[in-house]
Amino acid sequence: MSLTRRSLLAASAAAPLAAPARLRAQGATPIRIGEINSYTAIPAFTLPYRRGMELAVEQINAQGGVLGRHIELLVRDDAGKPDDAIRLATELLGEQKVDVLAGGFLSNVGLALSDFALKNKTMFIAGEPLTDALVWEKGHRYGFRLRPSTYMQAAMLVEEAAKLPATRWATVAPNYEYGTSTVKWFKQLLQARRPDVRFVADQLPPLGKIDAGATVAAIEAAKPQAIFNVTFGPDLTNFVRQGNTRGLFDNRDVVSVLTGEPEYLDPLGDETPQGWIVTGYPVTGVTDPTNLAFIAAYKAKWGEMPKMGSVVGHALITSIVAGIAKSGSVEQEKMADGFPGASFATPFGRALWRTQDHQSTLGTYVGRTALKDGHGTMVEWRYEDGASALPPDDVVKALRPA
Amino acid sequence: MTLLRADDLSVAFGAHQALSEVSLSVAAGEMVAQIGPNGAGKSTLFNLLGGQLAAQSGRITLRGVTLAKADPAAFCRSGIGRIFQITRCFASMTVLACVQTAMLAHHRQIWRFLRPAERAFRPEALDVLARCGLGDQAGRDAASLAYPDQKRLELAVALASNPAVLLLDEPASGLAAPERLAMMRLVAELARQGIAVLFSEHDMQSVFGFADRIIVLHQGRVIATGTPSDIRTNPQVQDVYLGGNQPNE
Amino acid sequence: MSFALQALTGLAGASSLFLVACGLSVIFGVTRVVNFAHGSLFMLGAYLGWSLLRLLPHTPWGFGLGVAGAAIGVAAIGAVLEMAVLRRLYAAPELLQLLATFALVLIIQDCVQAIWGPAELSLPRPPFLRASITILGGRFPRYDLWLIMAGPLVLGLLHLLFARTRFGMVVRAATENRALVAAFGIDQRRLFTLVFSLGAGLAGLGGALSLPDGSANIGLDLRSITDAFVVVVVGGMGSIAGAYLAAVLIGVLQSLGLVWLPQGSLVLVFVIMAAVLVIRPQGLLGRAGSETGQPDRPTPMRAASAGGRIAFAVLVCALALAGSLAGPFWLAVLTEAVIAVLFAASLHVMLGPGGMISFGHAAWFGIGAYAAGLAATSLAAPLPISLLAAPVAAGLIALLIGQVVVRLSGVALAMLTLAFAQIAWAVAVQWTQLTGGDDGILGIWPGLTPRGYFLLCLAVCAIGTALLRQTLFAPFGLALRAARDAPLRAAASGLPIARLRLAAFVLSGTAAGLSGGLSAFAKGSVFPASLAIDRSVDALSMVLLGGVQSVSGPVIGALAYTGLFDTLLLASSHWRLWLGCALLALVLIRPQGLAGRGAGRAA
Ligand SMILES: Nc1ncnc2c1ncn2[C@@H]1O[C@H](COP(=O)(O)OP(=O)(O)OP(=O)(O)O)[C@@H](O)[C@H]1O
Ligand SMILES: [Mg+2]
Repeated sequence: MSLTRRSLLAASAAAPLAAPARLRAQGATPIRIGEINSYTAIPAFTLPYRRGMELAVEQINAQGGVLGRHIELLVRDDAGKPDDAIRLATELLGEQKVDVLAGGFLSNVGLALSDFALKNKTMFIAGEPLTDALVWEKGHRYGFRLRPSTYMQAAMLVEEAAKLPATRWATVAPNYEYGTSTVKWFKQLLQARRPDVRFVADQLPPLGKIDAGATVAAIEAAKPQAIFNVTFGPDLTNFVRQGNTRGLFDNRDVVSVLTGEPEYLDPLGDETPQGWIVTGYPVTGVTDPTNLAFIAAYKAKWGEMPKMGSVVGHALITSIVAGIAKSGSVEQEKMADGFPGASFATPFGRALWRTQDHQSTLGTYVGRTALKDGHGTMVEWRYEDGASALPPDDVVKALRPA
Repeated sequence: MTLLRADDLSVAFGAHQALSEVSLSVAAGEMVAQIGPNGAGKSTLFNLLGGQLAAQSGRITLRGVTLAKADPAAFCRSGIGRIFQITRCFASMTVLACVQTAMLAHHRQIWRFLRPAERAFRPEALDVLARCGLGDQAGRDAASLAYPDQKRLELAVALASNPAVLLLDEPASGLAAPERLAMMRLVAELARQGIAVLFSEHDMQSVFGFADRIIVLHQGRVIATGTPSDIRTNPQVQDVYLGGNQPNE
Repeated sequence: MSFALQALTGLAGASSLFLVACGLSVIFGVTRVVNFAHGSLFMLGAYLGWSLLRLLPHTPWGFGLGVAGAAIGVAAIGAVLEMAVLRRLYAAPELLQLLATFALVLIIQDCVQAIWGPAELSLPRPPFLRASITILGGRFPRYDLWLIMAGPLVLGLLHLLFARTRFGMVVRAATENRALVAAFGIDQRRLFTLVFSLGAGLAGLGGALSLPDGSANIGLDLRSITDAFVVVVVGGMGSIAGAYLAAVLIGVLQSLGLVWLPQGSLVLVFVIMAAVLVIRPQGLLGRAGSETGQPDRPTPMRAASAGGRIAFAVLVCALALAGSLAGPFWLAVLTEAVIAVLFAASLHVMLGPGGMISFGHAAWFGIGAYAAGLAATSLAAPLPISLLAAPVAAGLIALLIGQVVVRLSGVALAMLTLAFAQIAWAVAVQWTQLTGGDDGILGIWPGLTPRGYFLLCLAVCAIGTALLRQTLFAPFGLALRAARDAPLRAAASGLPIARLRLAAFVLSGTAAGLSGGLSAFAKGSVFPASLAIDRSVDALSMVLLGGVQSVSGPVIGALAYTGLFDTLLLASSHWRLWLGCALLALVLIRPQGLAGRGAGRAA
């Protein structure tokens, strides 16, 4: 707790304006954050995510909230459908008078909410949606995004992938925007560094419906030296099991997005392949005080280890609170001016909202998978700051018309 | 004047030869009966003549014009009306609307989307219903009619297309004796008005009482044809049909 | 060699497909219930299997015991479901069972999540499940070899059961002729319970057997249900050998297709199904006419009385009033509700008077939405032109697709519409340059205030719905209903059945397209979700809830369904459970639909 308090104090210290307000309005109405996510459609991620948010709200309110007001979190389930998300956003904004909209898991839900926010000139902070369009092609004054994007995830991994001797690569990715655009960035960035690399097979199984045996056999038949994987969840479990049995991963390097996240690593159990280069969250391995404090608080409240979703949920709330504190107001225009540049504490360390494109600099861990006592873990990991995985400012400028 | 003619019609269901080289003709105002034991091929013949089924060989002509392609709607338009052995009516409509629908089809007015059909051909439809003894049932739901009235309704629907030839597959089956007689009288009245009628019937009283000519089918072949008295005395018919197993009903 | 290995892998996939599908085929063959909840039973099999296998020794015997236990457990659940729910619906209109089983899907989803939690559960594989052998120049999982054998084994056992036992003979008799079974004094209720429970057990078996290759997770139900339907329909409804043949065809083609055309993974199955259905509507081994004939027994349908018209006018006025008082959210809900009314009314034309079930009605809605969205954004067309583009595009495509669809009937027709909708969905997902892919088209705003736009929608939908009603009692409507009520009779009276059905199909698609166009502007966006199965199921639920045979059914059904859905979505994180329970209760209490005539429950 105390460490969290320290990080919180640090967050509000960035905004000296906040102090008088806190004194003034102890009994004022709470600041309302309206959060929309695919709770029933993607429970494996969103449940820990929600718990992370609730923990953050509790911690912040225990500290007296922000601008002297408490935080209130209103949560809505979009059932995975962007149009339902928009209707719920109308409800949160119109009926519940929320001050900030937040949320999203699927990229298209995130983009829909972002478009809604632009039209209503309302702040929207996307937590999980990874699509680059959110802050680049379709970025705007009121839209922000917390997690490292598909570009950033790919860039972080390419650094390692380029060091591998392999020249023949195969890719496997779920057949929707996230999958195809991650593969696109990975290919582009890797080939820029390694012109000798060729891609010999691209598998695109439908999301949640992979025919793992056939996919593995098809990749095997192309005889790649290395594999880039974007599948996650049940698809990944099926893929890994077939791959293990058929020896697909023997003597092959595998680079894999998100696989190090506990959500996706845990189900692999003792079949976790060893030595994959992954992004993720080594929740059992981290030793720094910020992470440990978060993990302890989370365990105390929920009785289980946090997952990646928990971190995202928690950081989403603190990032919003820091932005509000820096803006000194919950007026939309003031927040739109105030959020960029706001710095906030996350379980992974400090991050800030970039002024260039409203992407946060929250990073992620890059490491290798390993087996420990029959469970998958990450080893040889390091924290990769988000800022270092982003393209130079002039490139970003070209990518972001707004 | 011969209206409907069939020459050497054959059809098989898989290995089963249902009809072999059946020929017949029906003239305006004539009542021709086809008889034969169950499974003889009577309904199959009606299906060929009504366009429900394509013959494998043979020819059907109406007023000398060949009806080449088996297409029930086209057969209807050229003047062949029929009723089915198993009664079928339009269950979601009133009695009146059933007849109106057939009239709309006959007058090629079904591609009208907005004006309610309630008044379309109302007097004409009521007239046909009255002729079939359903004048007082016009407003009822067709599905709620008693069985004899459903048979009458199907006849009325067939008449709505103003056919020159009527194919009646067991028009009186399942009716009690007085109703059967009434139905046959109605059919005879239609023939008297100039319609060519081909009907099948298991009840021999109806057949011999009303038919001008009789065609006897057995195992898909015509084994005899002639006037009722010819047929009554035909030894072959007696053998395979009247003599052997009595027709049921 | 790698080709052969790929084909062998396809055979393993085929066995999995067959195990999912054969239970559905058994159930359909006898009870004619189109069991939407079959995928949920499969999922239950996986979860039960996971729980059992964790406790049992990790040996082949333990594995067999656990799998059998899961199958028996799901069979028991199936029997309970049959007795509690489906049994009450055999006398009700056929499609209502679809709605009831859809309600079960929602309920089971929530229950499974409550019991086992949201996380994916994988079963540690003991070595004997992990082993592989080397054949055809590659390593092949030994478990998959067992699976390949499990398909024909189950097929053989089912064959023995049906060919050699008294139970099987009765079941076969029931498949051929239901009245016959009743006439022989066989207790039909018990027979149906047994058959349903057998089918459920087979689904459970499939679920448990899928564990070593994957995991138990919340998405398994929907993942498996479309597969199961496709296999059953391609094989021929009710034909178990056909289901196996279809599974082999699909499994092998899918496996090979992944090599040749990996981008096609979203639609391959549906393309195969469409091709088979167009060539052989009854499926590979189905007998012609074995598919269900009509969606419903026709019952009398009457033109709206003066009272009905006044009620409709009052409803429109009330909605207009509500719209002028509502805040932004409820205004959005109302807008959505009136659009849903037109959407439901459009499906009703096809489903009720047209006698054609559609599992893919979202296709027309989505095509309309995309047409309007593209016209408004890419072409910068003004609102009226964009709105006009929606029905025109949907109508034209319906005219094209309708040519093949209307030649089919019953479940085969429904599955062909589903195949087309899925193909349209995949186009929307993958033709990124045109449609924006998953990210959709954004920024489609009408240039009116939300209130003004609501009134526009209300006007368009009220007039559209009224016109659709009107057609049902115009000459066209009579002819169409005649073609549905008694196709033989109608054709013998000179009605062009195929053209009438095509016209109904196009009319229905056009109206659905218009509702899709309206919705694009209401939401400001279009996504592939507007073409997805959920949307088609929504439309079916609305019509069935209101009552297929009633003129006011779709209006009441749409308002009730959207109202119920939105209220529950806001009120509870267990909205699926409550929505399922509400649908189930309505189906059991008012099987004729909310607006249907006559009271009382089904026998
Ligand atoms: N669609 C069909 N497919 C296969 N066989 C058929 C078909 N329709 C009729 N048959 C067979 O053709 C033969 C003739 O049948 P049809 O119905 O014409 O006899 P019917 O003379 O009308 O008998 P009934 O007096 O019982 O009405 C029968 O053996 C019947 O089983
Ligand atoms: Mg007959």
